Amino acid sequence: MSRLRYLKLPLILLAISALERSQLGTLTIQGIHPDILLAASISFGLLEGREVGAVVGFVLGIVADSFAQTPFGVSSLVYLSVGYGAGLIEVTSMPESRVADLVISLIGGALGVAFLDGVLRILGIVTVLSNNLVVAVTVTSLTSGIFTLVIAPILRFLLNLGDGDRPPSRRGAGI
Amino acid sequence: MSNSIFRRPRVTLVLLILVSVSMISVTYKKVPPFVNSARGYVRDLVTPIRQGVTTVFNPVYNVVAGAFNYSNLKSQNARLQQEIDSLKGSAISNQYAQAELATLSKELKLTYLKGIGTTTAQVISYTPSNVQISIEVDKGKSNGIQVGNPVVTDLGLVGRVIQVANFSSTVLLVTDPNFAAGVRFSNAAGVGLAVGEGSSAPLNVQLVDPGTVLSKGQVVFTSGLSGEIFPAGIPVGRVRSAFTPPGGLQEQVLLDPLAPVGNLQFVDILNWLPPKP
Repeated sequence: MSRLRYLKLPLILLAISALERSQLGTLTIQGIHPDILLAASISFGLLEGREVGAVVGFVLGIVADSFAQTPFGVSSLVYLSVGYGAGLIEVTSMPESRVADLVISLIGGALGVAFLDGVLRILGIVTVLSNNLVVAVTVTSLTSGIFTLVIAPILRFLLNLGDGDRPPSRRGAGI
Repeated sequence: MSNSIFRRPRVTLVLLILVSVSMISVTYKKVPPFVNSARGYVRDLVTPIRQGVTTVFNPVYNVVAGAFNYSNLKSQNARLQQEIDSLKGSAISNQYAQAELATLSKELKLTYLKGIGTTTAQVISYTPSNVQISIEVDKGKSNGIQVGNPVVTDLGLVGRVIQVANFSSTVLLVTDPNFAAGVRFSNAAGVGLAVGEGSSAPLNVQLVDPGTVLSKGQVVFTSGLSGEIFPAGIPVGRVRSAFTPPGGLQEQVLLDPLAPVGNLQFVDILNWLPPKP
């Protein structure tokens, strides 16, 4: 990762955090919010590889935890795991295609919100997810899919901007 | 490997998981002050940028929200038109009702907001989180807001402040499953505990003695009993239904919140904290 990319990444994450907290992020379907930060973690895993997916997931989780009353670190744990998992599956077992990315996003979104609900249940914390898990899984899965189709290409462009002839930054090699 | 941040993805993963689990362990029972400070810094960083992003994405949001809710908006529009017609017809009788309400309030010695200072705050956004139903407001520590301050509108209770940054605060809404407030009924003996059940569900009042006579539409207020976290007399909701199941140990009471918690623009934060035991 070039130095320029090190500078761009925090700015992009800040923009995503702000986007999540805008009216678009507060849209609800059956009382469930689309989890844009989870979707972004998956996209970064797909675009930049598992370690970047994990780090981005961790940072976005910190942002999510900063606005919630749940124990600090819950969202970080979930998002980093999903970001890492998306990068790992993408590079190890799937052919490089948009359809594959979409499938990983849909599954990643569903597993992510289920994992979040599981961690919160273990900690004995009652949330909206507990009563609406099916809706939450569906909404989050679709959000991740839409994010991968619409936002991820923009992210790819922004991440590669100014990197000259650098090939598209697909995934960390060296598994 | 040239693209990797730490060159050892598994080490990175294990390290981050350990940090996350440690943070959960440290903050599970009680959040240390330095964590609250860190939360405040993150909020102060993100909140101003959010304002700009909201301006840019508002039109997109309106299109998306309109597409999802077109049929609802249509029926809502028709219903509202009907309500306007109905309200026009009952304007005169409302004047009489207002006078009657003023008299009743005097008789009941309601202390709602009397003698308690307030800070008016604008709602910045609804927290886009599935683990908490809350709102962000544009007043924080710099305006004297403290964790635990009750939040109301002219209509009634909205929630309470749960987090404070320098220039913004988070308010847990009455509909959140972790929200609870002691309540009493306007014209019946007995108290209960109103608990949130989700953004689209009514409040559930627990621990109501079986046989308590309640009627639909009856107003429920905060009880203000010893140890309560709200002052007495704040309207909370109207009784939607109340019944005691056969053999039940408590009456099952559902409330519709009086404050429009799904559509708030401005709220009043009460400069009040529960007395320390």
